[in-house]
Amino acid sequence: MNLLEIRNLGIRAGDTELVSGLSFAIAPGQRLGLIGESGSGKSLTALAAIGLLPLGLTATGSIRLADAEAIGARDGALVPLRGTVTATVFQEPLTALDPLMRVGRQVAEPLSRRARRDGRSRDVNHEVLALLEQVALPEPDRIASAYPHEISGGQRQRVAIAMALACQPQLLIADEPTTALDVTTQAAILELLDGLVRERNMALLFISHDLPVVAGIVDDVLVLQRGRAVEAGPVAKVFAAPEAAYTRELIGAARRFDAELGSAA
Amino acid sequence: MTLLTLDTVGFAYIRERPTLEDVSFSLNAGTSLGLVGESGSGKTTLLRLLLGLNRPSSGSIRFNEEPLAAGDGAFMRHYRRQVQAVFQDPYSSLDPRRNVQQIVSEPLRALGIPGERRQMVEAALVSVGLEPGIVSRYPHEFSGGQRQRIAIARAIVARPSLLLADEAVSALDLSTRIRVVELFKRLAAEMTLVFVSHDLGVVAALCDELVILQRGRIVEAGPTRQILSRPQHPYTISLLASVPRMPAA
Repeated sequence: MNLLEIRNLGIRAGDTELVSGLSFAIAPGQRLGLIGESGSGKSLTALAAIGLLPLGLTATGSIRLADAEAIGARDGALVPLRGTVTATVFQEPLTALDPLMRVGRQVAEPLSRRARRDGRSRDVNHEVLALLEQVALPEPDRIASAYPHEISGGQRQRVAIAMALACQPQLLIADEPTTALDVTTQAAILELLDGLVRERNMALLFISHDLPVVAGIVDDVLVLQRGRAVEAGPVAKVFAAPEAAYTRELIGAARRFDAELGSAA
Repeated sequence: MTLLTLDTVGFAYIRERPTLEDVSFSLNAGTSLGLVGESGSGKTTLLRLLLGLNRPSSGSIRFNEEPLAAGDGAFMRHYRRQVQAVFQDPYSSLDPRRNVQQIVSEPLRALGIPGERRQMVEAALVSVGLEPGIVSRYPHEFSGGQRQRIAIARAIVARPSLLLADEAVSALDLSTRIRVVELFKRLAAEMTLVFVSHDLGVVAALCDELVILQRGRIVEAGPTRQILSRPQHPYTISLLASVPRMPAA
């Protein structure tokens, strides 16, 4: 059974079609990259998949999350799926975290909700520290009692990843998770994500405009242009022999910049 | 000929912690220089000093062997004509209520440059690859890449000798970015360029020389090819190793 199965997805704002005729599926353990430039509909697709499309946008077609239909579902019906079937890491860790809440409490929130649902004790303190340790944060005690502005951008993104992992999702959706980060921080976060996804055998939907970043972390890619899929296939195949003109242009541009760096590194 | 010289420049916004320390380099006319660093490295502050928006707390900056004196009105007017800037975000750097003619001709007006403004604006638009007929249109009618070209036209309309670009292609999509880098490359053949960026691939494509900044200090400087092929400082080495690379074709 697929964790996420999208069939003929359309997303509209009034009369404007933002995404149309999009179909793809993610099986347990599979890693798929959604590639596209701004306005290609990649983030909207991710939001639709978890039933969080902004008001005013409507989705048509079918999105099945662990066999439950997400399109047209009551929000309440999707709540139990969020966090356990899928969890999301967004681009900007500063806005993803509540600036008025200590980091530890934010990580504790999804944990204590799950504990309550499972009828366990709601004292999740040690679980918070364990999670912060798993995302390789130094001095988990200190980080837990800090506010988001007191830690660095890379550390904030690690906290956001810890929150996403809290309910042990089967599918992790990462929407441009390293775009706001410095290149050395990006390298560390990508390594962390890669390791966590492998250890926990999670599936991954990785959204990015950055081709070499995507190539390094997923097995398959889907290229979006103006809301439509123009090409899909294994990374090695698509990057080595792109078929669509648009994919060829993107990969050509990425290769030009890459070539300028020479054989450095 | 040396166009720009920085001699042990230091700067601090607050007294305790300097943003820039002991920054020295010189730039020959016609060279393109890449200022590379991560967030907090001081690259934007350095650019503000070069624009005369802040004064160094210590050390000095010389332009054509004359000291940059922010208080000297006559010198600064001359300097502003010689130095123009292009910023990162073409959505906030263009006034949405003014048309292209007004936007691009602004430096001509502000600097009191005589001549037929419409012709100068149209020539600048053509040299950045835009149609001269767009002068009466407004910023919202253009894509991000086109807006950045308008911002570049504004920067070159007064024919400066030094063009400063602050992450000028970072906000652009990949396919647009490569075309705007091509444009900068063409402009760099006619003027001196200081290009601030965190993106080593872009800087490598564009700049003859590099200055690598870390926490307000220069850790490495030299010809781009040399730094990319034989980086010396541990920070440069880790920076290069962190750049995600395309899989082999």
